[in-house]
Amino acid sequence: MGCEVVSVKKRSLRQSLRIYKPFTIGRIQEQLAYKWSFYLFIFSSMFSLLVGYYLWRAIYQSSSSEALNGFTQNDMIVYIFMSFITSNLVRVSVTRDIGNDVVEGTIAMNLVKPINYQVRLFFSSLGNVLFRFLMPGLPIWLVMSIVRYVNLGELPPSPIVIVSYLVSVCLSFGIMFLFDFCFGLLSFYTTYVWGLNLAKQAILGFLTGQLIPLSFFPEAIQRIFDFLPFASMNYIPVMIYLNKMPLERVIISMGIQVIWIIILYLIANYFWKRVTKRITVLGG
Amino acid sequence: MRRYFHLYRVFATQFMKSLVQSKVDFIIGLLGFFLSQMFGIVFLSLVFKQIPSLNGWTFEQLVFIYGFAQIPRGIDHFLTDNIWMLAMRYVIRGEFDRFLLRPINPFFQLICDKFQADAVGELIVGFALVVFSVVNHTVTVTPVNVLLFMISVFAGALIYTSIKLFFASLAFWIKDSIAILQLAYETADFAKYPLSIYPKGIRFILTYLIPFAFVAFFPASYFLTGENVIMTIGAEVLIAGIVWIIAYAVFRKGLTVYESAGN
Repeated sequence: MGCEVVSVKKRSLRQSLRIYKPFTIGRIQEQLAYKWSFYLFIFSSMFSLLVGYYLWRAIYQSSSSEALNGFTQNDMIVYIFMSFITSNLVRVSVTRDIGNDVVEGTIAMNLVKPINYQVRLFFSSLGNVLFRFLMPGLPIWLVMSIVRYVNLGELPPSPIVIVSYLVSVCLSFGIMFLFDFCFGLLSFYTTYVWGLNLAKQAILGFLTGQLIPLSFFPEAIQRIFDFLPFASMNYIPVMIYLNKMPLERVIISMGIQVIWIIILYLIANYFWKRVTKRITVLGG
Repeated sequence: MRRYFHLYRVFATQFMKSLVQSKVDFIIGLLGFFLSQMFGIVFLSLVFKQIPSLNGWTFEQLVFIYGFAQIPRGIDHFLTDNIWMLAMRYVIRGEFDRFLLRPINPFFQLICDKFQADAVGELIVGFALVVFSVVNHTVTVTPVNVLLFMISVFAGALIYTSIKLFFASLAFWIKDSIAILQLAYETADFAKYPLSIYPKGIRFILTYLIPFAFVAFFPASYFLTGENVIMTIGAEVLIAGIVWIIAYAVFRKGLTVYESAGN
């Protein structure tokens, strides 16, 4: 059966918030439901951070120069911690959400209901972000900042830098959401959502600069990165936090992030229209 | 015993059929694992543009350690991936019943239920890097080394299987052990790099508690240096035997406390 998307009447912002807020709260409650395993999962995700930390320490010990590509050892440690926090914050599970809905067939019900499926997904993802901001984002940031203050007497960056970082993170989240949405639409073509997610994670983990700052790549490849959205997802906010960019560069970078949101929004809408036209759901 | 071989062949044939049916899924999963391991190598090559050696190890040596680590991991992943289901759902949903109803060893049934084609991605990376290391003379091929290589890969895969089986079997008591299993499994990430970069605590865990260091780093360092065969590959085989006996005993004990779900 072909499925038309139900057009949604224009609502006031207040009304929309009231309608969609439960999806955000629901997502937060979902994460709290299995507290014990949730903390264990967070703990095991921190292994990659630990490996990175000790690896970079060994790399700097083996190096004859103080700084590699403009990063001192201290810069690098802040870089990988902030990279971990940022990528955790903006990591959304839209691919999985759409995938599960498609595999289980619940996508049909979601399209028939008088709510906008995309907006619903957005508000659910917002729940992810808010929750990850509190856990593990804030505690890791606090521990890192305190350790650095005690050991090195180094204060966290100025409030202006932190605010610009947070603004940039919000933009990253927008980019990430739309990117993940486009990616998730692939699950209309394959049911192997788990494998899809793995491939996506591998690509993102590397190209967004989680493992290594993008400035370590050869010049030519960095030029290519300028035309891809990946740097805007993680690398830019982290570099803003590290105060490695002059003010005008910060503003330009945020402008680029906004442009990516617009581009990805258009792409997402185009593919969404195409996909919902050909959707077939089994059963009644 | 012959019946088991026969059954295994039947299961494997079924798997091949399912593979042909879901080619796209196979390629996606393979690509996922291939990329995530390959990016690790690209990372190393970028780093080594800045430094001549890491903690006394050259780039070529690290590539060998990294690649060598993928092979036992991939073999275990390919053959026994279904153990994760024991941790995740078989106990909590009572689905383990069916393994107890048939007159065949439950562990054998558990691993036969699924072959994980995604693991081919890890195996490709692993073999490619080992071949690369042979070609650039980082390691030398002698009949003895080939034999030791096969023994070591087998023992390493057994260590992986045992660690998975041990933590998955805890589900018999706590119903859902996926988070603990994940935690234990991910410690393998540490073993992709030389142990000497880590502080004592982490080295202790990887050597004595969750012995992933014996899967990759210790045997790989034998092939690189040619020293201490007893303390590296000998120890690996011994550890593999010990952890397998422990894990299988816990699994057997778990079977006796298994109670099905439902009313």
